[in-house]
Amino acid sequence: MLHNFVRTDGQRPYSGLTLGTDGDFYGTTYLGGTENLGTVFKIAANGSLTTLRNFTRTDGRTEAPPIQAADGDFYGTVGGTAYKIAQSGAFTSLASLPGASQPSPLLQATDGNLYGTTANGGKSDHGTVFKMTPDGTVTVIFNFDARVPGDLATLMQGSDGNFYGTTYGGGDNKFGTVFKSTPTGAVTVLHNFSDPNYPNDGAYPVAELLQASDGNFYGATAEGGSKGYGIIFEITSFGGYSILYNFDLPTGSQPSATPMQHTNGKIYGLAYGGGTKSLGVAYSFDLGLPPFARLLPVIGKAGETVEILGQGFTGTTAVSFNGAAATFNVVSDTYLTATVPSGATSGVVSVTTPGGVLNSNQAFQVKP
Amino acid sequence: MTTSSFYKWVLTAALAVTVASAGTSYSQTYTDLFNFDGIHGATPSSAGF
Repeated sequence: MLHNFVRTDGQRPYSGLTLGTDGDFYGTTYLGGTENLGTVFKIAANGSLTTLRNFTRTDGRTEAPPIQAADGDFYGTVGGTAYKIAQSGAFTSLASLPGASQPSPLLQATDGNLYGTTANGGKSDHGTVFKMTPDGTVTVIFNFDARVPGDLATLMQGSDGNFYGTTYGGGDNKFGTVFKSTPTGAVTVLHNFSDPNYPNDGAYPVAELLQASDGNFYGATAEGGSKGYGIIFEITSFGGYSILYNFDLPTGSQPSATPMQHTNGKIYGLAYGGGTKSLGVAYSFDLGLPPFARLLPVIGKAGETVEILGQGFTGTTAVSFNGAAATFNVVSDTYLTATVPSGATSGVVSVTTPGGVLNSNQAFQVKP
Repeated sequence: MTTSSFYKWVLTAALAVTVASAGTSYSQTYTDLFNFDGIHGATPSSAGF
């Protein structure tokens, strides 16, 4: 256990953490701080916590963590405002959002802009999907409506460049949706939860979607399913849908946190309730997907260093960028660095380990 | 290659990588790894985030 919050340094840390390039973790608390209206903090791996901002009545409330953008600064949402925390720790209120209710965490898309959702505001006050430039110019790209309101709407960018998300409620059956939005705001509902075509379908998704290494999207609903405690589902970019797992009280129930995929191929997540103590569980879900290499970053120029996460790296004999051999340094069994070779072209990065070849789950993009 | 065509290529290439393994038949196994007990935390929720 790294840190126990006391009211003065934050309380009720609902949000997840963002790992910064400085090695510290960044997050928010919903309560606590000098005004008892929440904080933004950073915490070192040794548990040392620094409060970066005590939110005030002017700021509003947040349940979303800040993200670190490509410029190295941190961007987040609180109330009806987007804020920026410079790497120096300086806090700046950046822009007004189109709504003040339940602003989602921001995501930086491949176009360099920041995107998010609100649960209110917009044309019918049912929420929005908005775009914000790093200097704070906000544009609404989609307005949620009465049929698909933006309550607890999540957003992530798929490898096809489109945005994918869930809404907690709404849709044909009023139990939530999975939607897809082009960067210009053309929205398609991919799935309406509690779909009668899928007996014991899930309901009320809270967690964000995960795009796994097979290209499909995975998510969880907090309710529904054959036991009534939520499901894990799979959905394709065209709406092909499957129920994969029904949560149950003895082994975890009501998942609301976004799952993630480890480089070992398995999916990991948290369930809010259930388990042997009825206080929730951490779970894994093995789809049988093979291990892969994760690149940090996924874009760069020849001569730049790329960090690669995986497993079984000890004894690695080769790293290649779309077939071009690269120099590399094995730091640990799960971490190595490689230099983008001169003349490399964009494509898959492969790591030849004693246990086999690990391919990257994303194509590395060599900048011109 | 122009900037716009570069990004178009990027998106196409990324999709190609992820779709390459589609269609595989998977076994699925759920495992509860850790049961929260109130001492090491309880009711984990990220409010969807």
